[in-house]
Amino acid sequence: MILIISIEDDYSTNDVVDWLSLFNKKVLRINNETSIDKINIESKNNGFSISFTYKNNEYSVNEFSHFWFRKGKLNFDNIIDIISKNNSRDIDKGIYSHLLFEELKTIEQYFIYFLELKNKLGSYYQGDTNKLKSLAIAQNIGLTIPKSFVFSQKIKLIKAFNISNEFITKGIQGILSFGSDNLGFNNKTELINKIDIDEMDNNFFPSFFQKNIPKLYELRIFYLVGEFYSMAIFSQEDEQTKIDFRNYNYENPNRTVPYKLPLQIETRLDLFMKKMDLDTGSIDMIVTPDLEYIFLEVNPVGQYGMTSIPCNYYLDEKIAKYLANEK
Amino acid sequence: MKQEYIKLYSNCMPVKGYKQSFIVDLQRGGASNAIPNSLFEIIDKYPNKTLDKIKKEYNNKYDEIIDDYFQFLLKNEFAFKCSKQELETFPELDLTWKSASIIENAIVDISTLKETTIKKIISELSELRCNALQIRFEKVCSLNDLKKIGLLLENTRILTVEIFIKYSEETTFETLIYLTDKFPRFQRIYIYNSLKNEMSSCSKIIFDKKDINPSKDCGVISSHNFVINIETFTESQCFNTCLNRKISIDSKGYVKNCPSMQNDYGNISNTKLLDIVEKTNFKDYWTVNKDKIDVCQDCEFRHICTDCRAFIRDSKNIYSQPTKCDYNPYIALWKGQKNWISVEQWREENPHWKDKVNI
Repeated sequence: MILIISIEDDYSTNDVVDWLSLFNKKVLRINNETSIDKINIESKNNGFSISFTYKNNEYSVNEFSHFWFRKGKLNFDNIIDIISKNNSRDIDKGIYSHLLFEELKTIEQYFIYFLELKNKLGSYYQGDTNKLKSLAIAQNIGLTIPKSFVFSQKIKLIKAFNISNEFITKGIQGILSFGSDNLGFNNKTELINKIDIDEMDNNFFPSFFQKNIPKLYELRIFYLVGEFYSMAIFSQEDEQTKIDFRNYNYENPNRTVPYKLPLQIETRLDLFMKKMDLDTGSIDMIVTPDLEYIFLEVNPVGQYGMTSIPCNYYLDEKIAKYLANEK
Repeated sequence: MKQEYIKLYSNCMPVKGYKQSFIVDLQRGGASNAIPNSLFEIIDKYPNKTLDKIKKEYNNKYDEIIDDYFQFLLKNEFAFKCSKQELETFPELDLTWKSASIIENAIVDISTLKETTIKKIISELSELRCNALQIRFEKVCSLNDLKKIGLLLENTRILTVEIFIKYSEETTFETLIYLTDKFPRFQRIYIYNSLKNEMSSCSKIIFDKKDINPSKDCGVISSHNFVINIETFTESQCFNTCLNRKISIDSKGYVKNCPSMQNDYGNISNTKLLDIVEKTNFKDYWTVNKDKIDVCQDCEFRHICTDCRAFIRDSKNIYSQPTKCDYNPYIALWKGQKNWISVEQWREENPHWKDKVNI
């Protein structure tokens, strides 16, 4: 049986489950929205064993041969609820749930550790890969990266600006979007010019800057255990998408076509993914007008559907084949 | 880098017809991308040559026309300029089509709802990984029946459901919106024979005054029904764009390829859908693709067009042209356009037409 951790609305998971069902594989899909009910860990003579209850069925972790972490995280709400309900004493709620949360975190970590000893795809604790770390590793193994800075002082920014006078800024962390007060926010890339810098305070919150790289086109590369599925995005024909193609032009969308990376770049990216301890993820790169390849970032849980569908890659099937050992 | 090559984006697919060709833009669509067959030939023969070399191939006799052609491709963003080094980084689009579903869509006609039957149908369709279901009530249907269906659909593989019901006093906006909210799988409820034409703001509920008969109204082929996307284009390479992985069950329980077709392969009351699909000739129509169909095979629209095997010119020939098509690809004109004549008439007037077919 194959264990999948995902979220309810993820169509990519639906499609992979369809393929697995075509291959006659049994699947347990644990969604972020539904809590695990019970969890038991036992030390036995031949090692530890874990069992848990989900949607009224009990499973032993030994039943699973493969584990795919797609996205989301494990939900233990019901377990916390049981304890809160049974407790009538008047203890500070904050202390209470904090302690429970920390206790559960250790259980969760061990549970995931146990699962990841199996044939696994995706990394539960790499959901938000550190952008600075990945840039450093990429540079270290010989990939070209844009000149990058995190500054909190205007004076440093001005100095750097004099060397490479066009900057972009974006979030340091990897979160792409979030909601607050019923509003949705997307993390976008913005161009910084001299006037922007003049208007800044002398000291500001540590912010991420990169030298703006001229683009011929952008690449979105899906990596699956040593295989590359790349797509070129012609974002430069359109002012709206020049800096960030996620400012989508729905009426006249950017051309997106299959792309084949040079072998040398694939070899380096493969090494990069191994150093990052990632077996899958989506990599963003830029191809410059001089045909230089610039590494931007990696997202371990990106929507690969945006690459799979326009390029007809059938990535759902490829992931399913990997999980079903039918590759 | 010297950008001396002009390359078509791999999702712009030129398709050759008898009289003209058509660039199927799989990403941006557009139904007016016709090009002359001579341009098709140039693109087809010399995909990786510079403009100068292409001109030389034609002994520099058509330099101006060739310049015009490529200007047209660039202006419309069907093609882009690139260097020699880049050529090999842009592979062709793989046109394979495949599906994890045994059945992808189903049409179920109901006269009077029998819960055991609909339950069996829904659970079997879910096992076949059917994604889309259309249920058509031939008579008035109670809200209670719709609720029953909504409940049966929960936790199944069937994700989008479209329902046709006849108007009754019970079917009001409020009650139906309540249903589409409660059962998100109900993507559209279509109420025919209504008092007026009206559509809800979410466009999920549509009241229509017409007393429709979907099984007779089906099969119309026109440019309005063109589907320009990668899924249809790739599927049409080897499969029938209407019947592939479709199933229909009529109000008496007979299982067919489509409600408008006569032939049935068994009855739901005593057979499993999977057995019908796998153990009869049920799949025969699935591979009747446009390249095998008379007239369609000579048409530049063959990979974006729907097909119909229920209404065909010659009922004895499953490869004959759909009756309800008004396009004549031999003269590239639609019925109603000036100088249009029917395919039959055209073929009579051009008895040696087959000699010229080179598609």
